[in-house]
Amino acid sequence: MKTTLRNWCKLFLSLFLIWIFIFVIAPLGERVGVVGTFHRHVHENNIDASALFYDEVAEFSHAYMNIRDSIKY
Amino acid sequence: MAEEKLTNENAASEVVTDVGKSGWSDLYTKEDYWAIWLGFGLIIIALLIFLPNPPDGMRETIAQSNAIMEKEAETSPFKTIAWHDANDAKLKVKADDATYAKTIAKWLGFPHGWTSNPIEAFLLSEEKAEAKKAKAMEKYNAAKENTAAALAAAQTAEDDARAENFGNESLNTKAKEEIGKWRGAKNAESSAKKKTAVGAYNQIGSFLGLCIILALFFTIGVIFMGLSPTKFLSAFPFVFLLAILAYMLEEQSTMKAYGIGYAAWAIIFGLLISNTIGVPKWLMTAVQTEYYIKTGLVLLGAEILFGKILAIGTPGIFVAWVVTPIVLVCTYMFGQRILKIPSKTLNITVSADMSVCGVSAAIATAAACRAKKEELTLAVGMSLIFTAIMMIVMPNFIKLVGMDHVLGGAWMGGTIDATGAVAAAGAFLSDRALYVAATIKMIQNIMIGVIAFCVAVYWCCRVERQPGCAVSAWEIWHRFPKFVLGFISASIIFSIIYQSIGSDVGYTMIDNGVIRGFLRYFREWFFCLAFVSIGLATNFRELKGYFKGGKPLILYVCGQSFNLMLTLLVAYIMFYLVFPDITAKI
Repeated sequence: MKTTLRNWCKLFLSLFLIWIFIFVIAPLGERVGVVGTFHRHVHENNIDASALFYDEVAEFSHAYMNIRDSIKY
Repeated sequence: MAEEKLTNENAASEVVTDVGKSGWSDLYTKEDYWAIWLGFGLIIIALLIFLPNPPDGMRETIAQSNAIMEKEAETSPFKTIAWHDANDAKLKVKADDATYAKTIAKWLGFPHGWTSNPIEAFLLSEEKAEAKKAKAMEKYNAAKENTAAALAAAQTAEDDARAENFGNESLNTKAKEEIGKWRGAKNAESSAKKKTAVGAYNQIGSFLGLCIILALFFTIGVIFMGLSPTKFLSAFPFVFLLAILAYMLEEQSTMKAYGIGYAAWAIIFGLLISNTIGVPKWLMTAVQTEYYIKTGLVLLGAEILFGKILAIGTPGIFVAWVVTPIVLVCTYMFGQRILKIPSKTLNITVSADMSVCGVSAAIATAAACRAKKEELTLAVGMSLIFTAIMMIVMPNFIKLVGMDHVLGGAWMGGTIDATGAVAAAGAFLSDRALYVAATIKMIQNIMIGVIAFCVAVYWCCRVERQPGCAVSAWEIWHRFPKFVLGFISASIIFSIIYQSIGSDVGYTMIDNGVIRGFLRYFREWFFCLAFVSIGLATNFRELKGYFKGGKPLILYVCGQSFNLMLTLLVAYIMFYLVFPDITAKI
């Protein structure tokens, strides 16, 4: 019973640390000049910086077509 | 050894045991084959939905746009406003803009973006939607004014250059610059416009529906593989719920900007549960990492279109398809001969992750060589940290030293691991940098298919061979991960379709129809379920063991340093010394 309680406490503490990371530590990083500027740019342009593959980001197919047409025409 | 069925026990084990003789029954008892059948089932559905329903006037718009671009290219030494307008008109024709495609997206889609209130990931009331819209409209109107002013300046500069028959170099340069500024303003306007399209939503019903669909979908294979369908169906919603939570955190605005995606959150949630309160035995039936990954990889095969490797001509092939394998092989050899990393599967997974394209390459390579879950977790974690650093440092360094944006774009495209991060870093510099970076990364993405196939063959023929024994063709066949065949077949079939209908129609119907409108959603959900399963089946203590001596980190840093140097050198040689004409056209 004690161990179970301790394990649940560990889980909630870990979740709390994640919360701290997302809402306290990570936003602090954005106060650093270059990081903040970069992130503002990502937000404004709505870029999915976490995409795993090229077809998850619209910019990739636009880039492909633009480059292809630039070379072709 | 007798053929082993997938049981509850081995589902939770390190790797899927796929040993013994091949037999006809494998076709319906092994997950490798089920990944192929299920993957191809979805592919056929996607083709049947999208191909018979092209957007109205698709061919006419494409023909008109191409005619304008051709005419403009004949008269002007640079891309004129009319050229860009024609290109934009063509890009707007997408199959996934149709009403039926939007309905599909609504049912298969992911949680929405949010900043401080996680409920907004799933629910948004009419009032809040209106408030957001009004705020976005202000920015959009301002962006529209900027674009109008930039267009006027660009038109004047272009007219001046045209009046001199494009013979005045300084006027041409001025026109190019003004057109570049207008393009930047137009992109900003387009992003602002997207944000005004906010409406009220409630995704709870669609997630419930999707959970049922996915559970039943995977149950088909589960029945034949000898698992209990009732146990699987009762455990699956929990794994799916964790997948939704992982997506929810990916959509948090700060996390999104750092590039911390669902893969990381899914592993973290799984790890936290398995290493604190533990995973109940009944839940392990739905913890089917290999089953989800392999089905996702077959779908990923459809997204690997070989025709695209020629997008940027020979320089692109050299930067992405020559440098990448060299870096991959050298890093692997460095790990084996110098660092003496005990696990070859960890070595190749980290090497592929670092040299090709981050998480997606790591998944494909790990599955092809049957790497352990902890090894994939380690590779994904390192890639995430280095990507978050590189995507900010590289564009700022390029700006600082005044490097040309075509070279900078090629450099970033070839070296930053994560695909999304390449788009963010490229866009931070300029449109030119974004186009080159994204195209190079796309060509590199396509390489995943070849890498996975080569790794699977190499592992069967060399790594898993008994010392001193010759390996027969049958033995290779027995050992070969069969899902790779589905992965490669999907890639070949889609590459042929794409080539036969042409890039323009392919962009409309395949890229922005079959793939972005259907298959991509399933593939991403499958990968997310796989990462949740990885976390749920991973032990922290074992994970620590793989990191002993920091060898994986040393491997990553040394490999990435070599990658940075070689990519820059080859990009410079290709884009500036050998093919300057191509660079001039971009």
